[in-house]
Amino acid sequence: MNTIQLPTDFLHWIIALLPIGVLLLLLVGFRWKGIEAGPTGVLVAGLTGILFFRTPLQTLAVAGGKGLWDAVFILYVVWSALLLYLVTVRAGAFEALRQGFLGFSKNELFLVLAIGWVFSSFFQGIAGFGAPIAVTAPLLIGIGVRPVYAVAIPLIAHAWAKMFGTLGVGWLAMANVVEITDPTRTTVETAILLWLVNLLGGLVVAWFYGRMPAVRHGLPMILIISAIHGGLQLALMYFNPILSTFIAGTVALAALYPLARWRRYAEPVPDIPTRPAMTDRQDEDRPAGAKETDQAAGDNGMSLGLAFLPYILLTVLAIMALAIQPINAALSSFEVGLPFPATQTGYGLDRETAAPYSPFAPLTHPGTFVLIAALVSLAVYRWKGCAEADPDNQESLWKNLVRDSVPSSIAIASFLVMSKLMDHSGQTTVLAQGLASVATPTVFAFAANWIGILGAFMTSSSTASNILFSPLQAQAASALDGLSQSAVLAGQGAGGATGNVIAPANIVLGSSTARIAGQEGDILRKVLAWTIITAVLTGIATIILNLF
Amino acid sequence: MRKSTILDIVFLLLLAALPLISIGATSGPEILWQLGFGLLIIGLLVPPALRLRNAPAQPGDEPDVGEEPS
Repeated sequence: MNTIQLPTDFLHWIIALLPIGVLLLLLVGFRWKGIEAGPTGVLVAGLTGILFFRTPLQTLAVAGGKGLWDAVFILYVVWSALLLYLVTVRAGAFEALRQGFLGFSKNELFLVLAIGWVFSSFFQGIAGFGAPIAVTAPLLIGIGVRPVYAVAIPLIAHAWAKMFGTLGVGWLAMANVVEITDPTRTTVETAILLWLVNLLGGLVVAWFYGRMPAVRHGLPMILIISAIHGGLQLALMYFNPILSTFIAGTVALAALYPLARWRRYAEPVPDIPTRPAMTDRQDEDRPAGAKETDQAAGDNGMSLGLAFLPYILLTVLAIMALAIQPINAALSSFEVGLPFPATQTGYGLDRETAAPYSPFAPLTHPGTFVLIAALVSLAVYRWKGCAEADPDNQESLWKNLVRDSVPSSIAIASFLVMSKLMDHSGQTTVLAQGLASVATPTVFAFAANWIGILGAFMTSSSTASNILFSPLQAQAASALDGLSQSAVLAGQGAGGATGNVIAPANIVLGSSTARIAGQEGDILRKVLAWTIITAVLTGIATIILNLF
Repeated sequence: MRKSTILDIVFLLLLAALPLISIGATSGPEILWQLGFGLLIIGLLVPPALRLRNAPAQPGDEPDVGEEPS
């Protein structure tokens, strides 16, 4: 067995940081699109791997192949969600949805919180892979939210649900790679940190809507929903962590009905002078599709039930396939995957043979539910004669789908290839070990969630972040006296959830479904400050947890 | 050639690279993974190259989805 001798000196740490630095600089500093910055990041990661981390070409090739395979999981959601979007927009369903939401409550802030925070969190409870963003961003645009905010809001607001959402997959992954000494304490401490992430998420959604006046107006609702999301999830850690987010998300969704009956949230929002996240109906800052919808809809006679059909189908399918255990077991037994051989670098870093690597279970994947919802809705809309509400739109639905999906697909694939190149060449490990090697117990407790954020940023997945870095966190806990394993694993879990907000692949997924491809840098700028503030507060909370 | 057509070809190159790398690296022959890796690199070189070639954007270029023409 080879001994791993990765160089963790400062120079190699800086070089390992270079691909991420270049990516961020191009996206945020030079406003390059994801499709241009992502591949450039891959090329930088490949070159630094070869030149400074002794990575053979075959290792890079295998890493690239695995990255492409990882992209399949996200692209399946992107293509299905874009199809669903095109089906509903062409049928003019978004105007009917908007009218339906306004019938539920005339309070815009309530609707933004309900769709962007409560519904996206509920959906994350059962389905992940970016589906909550892909589904809710177009709905937010439909009620008048500016597209960049329509992506930023669900990105931030459902992050808390990443760890125990999708039926606890993030937690199960962590428990699979680390021998957890006190599972109950670890889940409880994780839930405490995630409650903080949840509360900060609700507050920032109101802040986006109308700054401090909106926060004051929305505060009672935010506190009630956060008590349900965070408090109920925390209580459920003693009984069933796997279902905790799903149950908390469902109860919060049910709580919207009495909240909408409360006069405060039934009537229009008073006295909010500026509403940065909202656009007037005539405003040009809306994606082409939304404007087409307005023109197409209105007198096409679509009922509210018909407009909601895809979303009702989607929810029913996801609950049936994922939450009902016998059905889930039967459907998840069908898996497909590609094999990849073992790899190693000149520094002795091994990656084992995978046959198959990360198998794909299409029948329980959220992309399938979205696809079925889109196809059934298309059939029903055609049967009802309202599938093409805009007679001027002659472009074929499928041609439109390919044209809209390909650029974001290339961007997403490139981010995941870059992630795998950095992982297989040892650059990601060097970054994490560099942080760990200079830390005291208190500093490491603070840094634990930053490491989780790094993993999620690199892989666009909190689960992958947990798999990648939980062993490192556990090793640090056993090596450093006075560092609690449960506290650092909680920091890892919360950081993995928070890091999804700035993960490039998630941002591109959102921008493509909101039809604002190329504005990834603008979205990143909106969410970056929240991510940093949340990470600092979570770090401080982790230090406090480590003291007890 | 239109930018959207070029990107469609890039996407196909990436799709083709995946099985070639998997099969070639797992059971050989080696030329398969080398070909797949080559397709991956070429595919990923194209979008930044288009960016550099088209700066500033040429008239007639199609904007990406949802993007307003600059």
